[in-house]
Amino acid sequence: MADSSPFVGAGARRRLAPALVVPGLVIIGFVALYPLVLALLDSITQRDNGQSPYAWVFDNPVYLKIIWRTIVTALIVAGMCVLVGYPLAYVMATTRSARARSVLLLLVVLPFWTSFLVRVFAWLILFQPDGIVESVLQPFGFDGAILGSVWAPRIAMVQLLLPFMVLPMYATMRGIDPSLLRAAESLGASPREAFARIFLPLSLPGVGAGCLIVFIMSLGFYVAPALLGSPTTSLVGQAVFQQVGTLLNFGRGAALAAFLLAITLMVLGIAALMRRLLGSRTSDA
Amino acid sequence: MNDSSAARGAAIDLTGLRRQYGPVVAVDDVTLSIEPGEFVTLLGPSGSGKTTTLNLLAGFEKPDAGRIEVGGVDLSRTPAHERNLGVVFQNYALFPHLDVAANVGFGLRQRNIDRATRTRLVTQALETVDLAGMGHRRPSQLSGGQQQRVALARAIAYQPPVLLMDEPLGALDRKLRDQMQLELRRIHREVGSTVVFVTHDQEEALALSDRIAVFNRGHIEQVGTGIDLYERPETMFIATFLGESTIVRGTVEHDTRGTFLAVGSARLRVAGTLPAGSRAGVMVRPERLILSKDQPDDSREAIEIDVLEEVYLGSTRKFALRLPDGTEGLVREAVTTASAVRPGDRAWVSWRTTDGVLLPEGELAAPDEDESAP
Amino acid sequence: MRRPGRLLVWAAALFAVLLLIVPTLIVIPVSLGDQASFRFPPSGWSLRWYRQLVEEPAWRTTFGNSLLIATLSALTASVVGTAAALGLRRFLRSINREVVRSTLLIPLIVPEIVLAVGLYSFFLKIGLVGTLTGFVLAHATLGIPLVVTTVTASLAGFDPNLERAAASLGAGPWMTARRVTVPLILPGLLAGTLFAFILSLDNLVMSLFIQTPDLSTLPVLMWSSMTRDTDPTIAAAATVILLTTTVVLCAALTILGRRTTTERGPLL
Repeated sequence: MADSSPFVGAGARRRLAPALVVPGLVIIGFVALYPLVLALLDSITQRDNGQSPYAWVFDNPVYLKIIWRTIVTALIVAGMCVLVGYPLAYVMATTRSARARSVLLLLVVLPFWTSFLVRVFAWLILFQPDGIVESVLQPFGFDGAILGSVWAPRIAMVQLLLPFMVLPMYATMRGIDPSLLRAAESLGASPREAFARIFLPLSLPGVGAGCLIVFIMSLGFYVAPALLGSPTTSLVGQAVFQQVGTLLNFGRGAALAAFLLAITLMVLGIAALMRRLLGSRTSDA
Repeated sequence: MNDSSAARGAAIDLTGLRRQYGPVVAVDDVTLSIEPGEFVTLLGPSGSGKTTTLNLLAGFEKPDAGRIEVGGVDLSRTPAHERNLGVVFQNYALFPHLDVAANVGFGLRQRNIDRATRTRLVTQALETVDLAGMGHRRPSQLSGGQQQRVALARAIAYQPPVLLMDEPLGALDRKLRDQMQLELRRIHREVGSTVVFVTHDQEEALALSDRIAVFNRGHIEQVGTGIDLYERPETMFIATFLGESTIVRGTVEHDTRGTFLAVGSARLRVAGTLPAGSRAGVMVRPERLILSKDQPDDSREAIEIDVLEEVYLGSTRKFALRLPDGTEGLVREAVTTASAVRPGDRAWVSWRTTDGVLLPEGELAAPDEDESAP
Repeated sequence: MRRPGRLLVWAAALFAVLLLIVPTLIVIPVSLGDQASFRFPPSGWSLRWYRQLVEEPAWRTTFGNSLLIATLSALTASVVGTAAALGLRRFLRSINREVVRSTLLIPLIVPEIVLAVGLYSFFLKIGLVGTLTGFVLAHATLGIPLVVTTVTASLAGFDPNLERAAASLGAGPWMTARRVTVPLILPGLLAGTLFAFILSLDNLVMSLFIQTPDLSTLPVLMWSSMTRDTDPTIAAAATVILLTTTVVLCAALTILGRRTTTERGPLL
């Protein structure tokens, strides 16, 4: 009987392994991988009036500017997320009150699960001409429209992506043994020095992981810049959308998307390399 | 499954078992016969193949060659869940989402035993391990020792003819471990199953087993009772792995009066024999050695050594020696016999000819890396 | 940290929390205003935008579509993703495992707008644009990596000896899956499924490409309304979504929190 059963013993289980991942691979291959590769290949061979879409991007200062603006925006958003999120993650990780920790955690996770669209829409209301944000800023000498400026989407993106920064930082900080800080203090370090020389360096992997996620998510962001920015402050995501969705120029859309993909993969590669280098250094010590 | 056969243990026959992981041979030609109801321990350093052998027996892994028979039935190709063996895991492997009673009843439910009988057998198994009334607790609410008992109860609940245990006491502290050893002996007597027990702790092996199979590098080095292994080791590995030993090395010589071991200028009489000219050693247990300032008379074998150190251990006193070939040896003497030697002395160490075991030169056991060594 | 330092850190943390929570709440008063404007505070109060939300067929239809698509795609992602996570740990060669794992995570790593470019031209060719199948496949693709990740995380704390123990007690592979493996990964599985559901419900970018006037989703309708005119009906819809998410998440945390004894639930 055992031999006729399709699921006998460890050997059969091993043979079953590929079968279990096949549906996932098929769907992702069919919906994501194959169309993407196809679109990129098409974009390489396509010619508009004898011009390749890649040459078109390079010849067009507007699009180079857009790519550059996108990278700068992603860097600024990641940096601001660190500045705003680090103290929060620190308090969550180090507070002795379990109640405070779980309340803070809930307040970080709640927006994480809340519709992006709803949260972007809230910023649209806040940034209205003569709306709340403008009336708050007026006494500080700010005049002009915030909606449509390059900063409107950036501020919204910081708020939207903050949980993706706080959660990895928190996870790393929770793993730091508090007795390390006590040890540093017993060796003569002031609490401030103990923080700077022990806690901060140990929390950096979490900061790095958070920055990676936030940076990559910012690169491809469409909703916030499209709603809160203006055509003159457009990012790559909007440009791709315009080419493919509005102009139906798949070649140029794919060429722009290829830049986005290339930057993403490059950043991931650098991150993997850094992790390996840092990992080997700490294990040598 | 019928009750009368299950209540008794089954014989186990392993023949020529082999298991390879890529180029690494984890188990190499293991052959072992175990009597029904016997308590056999697989003992060996980590990575010696004892756990792999147990996994092959349990059906968690498939042998590349060899046969596994339990009660005369070939199980080599039977999947684990059809083997009807009881297994106790090192880290207990209790199902965290089930309470104690459901854990213990898992195997019974799998055998479609009716609810009433199941309840009775679960209660009975929990009573056997002294956990009566704990059925509604979750595993996470129990202490390590209690979890260990639940794991045991789960394995014996359906009265399997064979119980396999993989370092079941490894995670317990010393005191609890000693207590559980006594319990295991009692439970073994009560349920009557054949037990195959894996451990790297030689004291535990000696305390529990009818017989011990010592593993080294994937094969069985020697099988025997504790006394066999301690008093009559067959290889240098066994001699150095199990208990303490002092080994005097030299070259084997023969003449009309018998076999000798030439050590420097000394010729030591030995029991047993090996080919002349081969390198060999005489192994003597430290408690059978005597230290003296002067050379003892001809009735004892003796060599001259340097005394390095003396350690007071309560009931005994231990001396570290420098042997003629530069290796170190040990002498253990009762504190009541006060020999006059002191560290730094040149002295004699001697033994009765029959206390020495002649062994061919061979691999030594690595010194025990953990605290479980006696 | 000395006292003043500690106080400063807490103040900064409080600022971050307020930034996370408070701005979103603006949709609530705006949804209750009586004028067709996004002014705050509103000049008067009314429930007219909620009436509009319930009565206008476009909102009802797209909401129904969104629920159907989210349910189907979350179920697909849940089954397919769980199977994949279970299959992943059975690979013997780690290189194969890592290649398969990376492939499964592609939808999570590659920006959605990039995926949408390929998807749109491909779906146009094979006629999946504007179809339920097209929506479900696209959204399930985004959900699969989430389920793979959460289930893999629950499997990380999973002692493989538990499955061996079940086998030694007489349970075959199916029984072991039913009575041991699935119950133990259930929190991760539910969290991943819920995640995939919400992701689908909120998806805009891919949906903008797949939608047609005949078949559209709630976020697409909200988006076109947002970008076109000043209609507080969106604020009413946003308020409903906001409250529903909060209630569902709190309920899920309570239920899952009771199931798992760990300090942190799988949702956090």
